Amino acid sequence: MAVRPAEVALGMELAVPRQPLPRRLLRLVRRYPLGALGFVIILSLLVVGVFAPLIAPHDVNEIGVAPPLSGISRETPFGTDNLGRDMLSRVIWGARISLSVGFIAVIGGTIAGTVIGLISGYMGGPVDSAIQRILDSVQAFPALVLLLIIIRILGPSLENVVLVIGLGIIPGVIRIVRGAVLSEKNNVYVEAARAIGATPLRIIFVHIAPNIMALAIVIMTTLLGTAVLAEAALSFLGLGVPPPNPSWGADINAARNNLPVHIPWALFPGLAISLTVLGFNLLGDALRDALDPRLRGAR
Amino acid sequence: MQAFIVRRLLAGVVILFFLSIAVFLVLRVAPGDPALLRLGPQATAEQVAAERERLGLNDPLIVQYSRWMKGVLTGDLGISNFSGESIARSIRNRLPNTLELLVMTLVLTTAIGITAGVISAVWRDTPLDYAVRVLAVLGLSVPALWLATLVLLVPLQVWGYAPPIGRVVHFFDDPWANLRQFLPAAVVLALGPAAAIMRLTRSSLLEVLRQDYIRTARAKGLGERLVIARHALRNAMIPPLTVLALQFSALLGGSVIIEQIFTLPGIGQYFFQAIFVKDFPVVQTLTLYTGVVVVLTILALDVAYAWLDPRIRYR
Repeated sequence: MAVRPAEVALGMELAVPRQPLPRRLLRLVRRYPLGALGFVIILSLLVVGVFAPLIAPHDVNEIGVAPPLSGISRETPFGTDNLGRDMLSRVIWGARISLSVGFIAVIGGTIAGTVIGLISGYMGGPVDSAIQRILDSVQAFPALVLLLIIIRILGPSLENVVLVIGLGIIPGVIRIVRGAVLSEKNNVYVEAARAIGATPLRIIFVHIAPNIMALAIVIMTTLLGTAVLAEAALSFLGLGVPPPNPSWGADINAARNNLPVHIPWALFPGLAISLTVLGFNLLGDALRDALDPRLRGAR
Repeated sequence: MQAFIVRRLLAGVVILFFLSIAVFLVLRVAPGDPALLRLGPQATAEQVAAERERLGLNDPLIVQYSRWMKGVLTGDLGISNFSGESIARSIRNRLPNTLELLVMTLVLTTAIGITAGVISAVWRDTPLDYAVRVLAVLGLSVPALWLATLVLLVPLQVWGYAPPIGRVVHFFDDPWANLRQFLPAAVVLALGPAAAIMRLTRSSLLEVLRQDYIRTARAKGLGERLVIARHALRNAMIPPLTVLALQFSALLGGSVIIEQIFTLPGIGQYFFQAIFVKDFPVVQTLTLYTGVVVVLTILALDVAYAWLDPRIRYR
């Protein structure tokens, strides 16, 4: 049976004869226990997000589920906010918003950044310098403030939050991919492709791109955590996902501005953000160890 | 070295030129008339037209841009569209607060990050190492805005304690009150960057400790303490320094949120409020200002590499 490149990329060595799937999984789990934990966290959150309408005991905006600012109880395990909305349901629905913003923004941003990085790195010359100078200018500036300015101009909406976070991650992706292309393009296989008359576009996307895939996956995983944090920050500052959508960041901000102080209201959305980002970070670390042999054992 | 610094400064000027044009154009294509925003929705069409003329918004873009640039270069930063206050004076009043916050944060970041990283690398694969690494990955995952909220809310709920809010007490007037205002904010802001620095210090130090010259140093009988402090650490510091430069820009972004939460009247809070009310003169001037700070910081760190690693020679 042929071994597909994707499996090589996932760290399943060519020389090892194929074992049954459960045993291979067990081997991965044993080798990267924290990565497996991250994977389980993310998978659970995805399930919670996808099946939110079935899991959540109440509607997100159902008012008066319990008295306002109820504490932790059997009926409302995460308490309620100042309108008596069930925080458990809000946190569950928040997973759906947070993860979809994160995934769409990061997938879009990584694809765009990878394409530009591939072209910039392979072409070199004036195109490359122009792109690099633009990146220098953009990166001479705090990303969060940039996102705030753009979203203030576009107006806060779910689509615009996805758009600005996606735009925000592009420069970093271009930098990393371009660096990888620069070292990749001196390989013999690129030379060979050029010798048999392959066009630059073909060399970039058919020959070099597959070798950058592993790197792109690692970048994406780490950026997913960053994107979730960015969405929370924008919503916290009142320039993110607008109501009636639930947002973990917006809920923390609401809790902060409310008197009397009600800790559970701020506590659980923040725990949810932390858990999500932790999951992506653990998974990203394990993927980097598995896919980038230069870093193996160094961490 | 001088030639390198001059060239980098020139490159910095080019970067800032692009940045200024970008922010200028973005704010001009933005929907929403600053004159109308300033006067409020009840203003008549004639009043808005007169205000546009007065603010110079009817001039061609190139004229508006050169007027702004001329002001920036001659030290006249203009006035806020919103409050009518001098931008230069607002910056002067707020800058010391942001500087205090950033200096505290940078000191905490480096102290915690590098110490923890060295501990983790030296006692590799011991429970101590695992504990530090778990704390680091948590530090990268826990959002500062949440931590800051809890740092304010929990003492308020439990002890009814709130730090002095609003007016900033100067350090030399009342150090204790000043620290109560700034230290919690600095600690919260430092945790994320410190975790990143820790992880990088650890992997960088482990990498260096594998090299031949370290084996030589050990073989000639140097104590482990001396090997690490004198031989390994200096070379291991270069990657963490690079990241510190990148983190600095993120810190400025983070200070926007943290100053907002802790109600510290600094540049970050000023920036956020200006963005929120679409105060374009303030936004474009602060953008350029922040750009200058970041460009100079990165240059300073490049110079620091050369001092740490004599193999790096800038031509």
